[in-house]
Amino acid sequence: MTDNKFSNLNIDQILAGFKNKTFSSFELASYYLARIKNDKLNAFISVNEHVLEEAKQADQKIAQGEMALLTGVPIAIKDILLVKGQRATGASKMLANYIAPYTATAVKRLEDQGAIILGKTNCDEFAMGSSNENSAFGPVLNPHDITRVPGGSSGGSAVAVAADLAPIALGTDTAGSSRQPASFCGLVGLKPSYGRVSRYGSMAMASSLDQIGPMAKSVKDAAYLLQVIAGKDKYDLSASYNTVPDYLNLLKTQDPHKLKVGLPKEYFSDALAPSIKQALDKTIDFLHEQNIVVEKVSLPYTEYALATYYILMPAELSSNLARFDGLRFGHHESNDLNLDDWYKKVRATGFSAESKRRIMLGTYILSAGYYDAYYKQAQKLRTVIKQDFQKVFTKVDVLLTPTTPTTAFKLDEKLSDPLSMYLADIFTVSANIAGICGLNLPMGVDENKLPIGIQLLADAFQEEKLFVLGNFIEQNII
Amino acid sequence: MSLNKEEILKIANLAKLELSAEEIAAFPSQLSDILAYFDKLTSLNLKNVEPFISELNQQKVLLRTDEVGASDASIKDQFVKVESDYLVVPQVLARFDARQAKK
Repeated sequence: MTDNKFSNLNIDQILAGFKNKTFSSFELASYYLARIKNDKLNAFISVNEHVLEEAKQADQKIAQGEMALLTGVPIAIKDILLVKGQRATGASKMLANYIAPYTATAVKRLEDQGAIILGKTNCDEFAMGSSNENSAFGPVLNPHDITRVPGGSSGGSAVAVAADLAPIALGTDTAGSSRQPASFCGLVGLKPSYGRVSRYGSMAMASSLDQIGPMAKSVKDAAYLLQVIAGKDKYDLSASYNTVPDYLNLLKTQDPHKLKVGLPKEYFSDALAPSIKQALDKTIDFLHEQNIVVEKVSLPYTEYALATYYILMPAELSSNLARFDGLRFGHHESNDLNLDDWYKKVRATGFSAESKRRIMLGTYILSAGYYDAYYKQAQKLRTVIKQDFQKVFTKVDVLLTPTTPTTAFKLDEKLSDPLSMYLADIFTVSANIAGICGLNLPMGVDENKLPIGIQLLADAFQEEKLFVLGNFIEQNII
Repeated sequence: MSLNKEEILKIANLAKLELSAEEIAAFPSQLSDILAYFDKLTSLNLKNVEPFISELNQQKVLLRTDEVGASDASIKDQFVKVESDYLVVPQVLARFDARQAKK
């Protein structure tokens, strides 16, 4: 890392820099832009051509004292979210040249609070993957070891923040896609509760599971982002009307000692990498020292969560990806084909092998004769997995678990074995199935100097508990 | 549960996907492995459990009134093929010849 006044800033430091005139938004955006241009990790798919103009306008507002919460603060956006007038590829050949005609609500809210968009980050195609190797724009490399993956699907957003190409970023999380890359890259990554953030303008993968999630260098930065992007939206009726708490204030005023922490025994198996087990033990020791109540709990249906996910997700995805038919927008064929051949050709040349694999699986699962055996059974599992969490959250406030079974794995290591790749999501996926919220917190490094992540889970719409405990742990032992 | 090549081709047809020779070779075993992973779940007895329908049942969601708004003309810029204000698509229906049908 370069040692200068711009390196590794968090939001408070950026806002203080503007206020004290240590640097301008223009200078800061120029710093990130230069780093993005020299990036060898392939974190970005496109850069916002107007970012410097927008930074200048932000500087004028700052000079006039007309500051909103994030005026002049640069941010990177996962290329699953739409920004009007900018390319929105979904990291797919299907949308390689697609220009978004409108802006996603989460992004619009950031813009309304003065944030400026640096560009769109690389990811797995339509957010499908756990390694960021499934991108039509090439894999993203882990800044801690370039022979390893950054995790996925929000790998580009994770690397943008970890390699200081952006101070903060938005990712999305359907089974762990913001928490798992945050874990592999040493960041904070949040999966908000289902319904907490509007998905309007977010490319749909599995609609009953998808959420947009902040990725940041600190818990407080993640709280800043959720504060801005959360809340009801007339364009997305799955966005909840529940009041958005004042997270930043609660972070200052809530006492972490009052929170009860649960350790679900199903997450602490022998298969866990020893370094990750040690990081968890260190955290548990700290909680004991602080006299925070820590108790063992059980989520008996945990072992079925991943199989449940790999039934529900392809079923929803095969329906969602049906919109990519080349008839109205995106990748298409120029040949004079009949309709059926047109569809088949467009989809054969536009989708990656992984997309096709999942579309095939979803089509099979939903087909006559298999629907009850797979889809309906998975929806029943979803009921009992949710009940597991409901019971546990009557006893404790927050669950502490590993985020991933291992630290970052090597490029190509799991590419030809989809099932082993899917297992990377084993500890994160339950939160999506149950609709609750989860946070990855970095907790040191392993013997190869690779970041380790631990996960905090809380009941739906209790993100403040994750922030309060996460911030306390971060301030005291990281 | 395992899938053979014929079943893979049938599903591909339902999904409107043309598969490459490599995909036709790789998918039967890859998809069968994934389906085998589901066995632990399909064999579970959940007779008395209600299937989950939607998160929205639990959340406070209010339907908004339906308001007519202007559409954004820039949507047209992304159309595959345009003629004046219309999107041009490949022929969807085959021509129906009444005289042929009578015979």
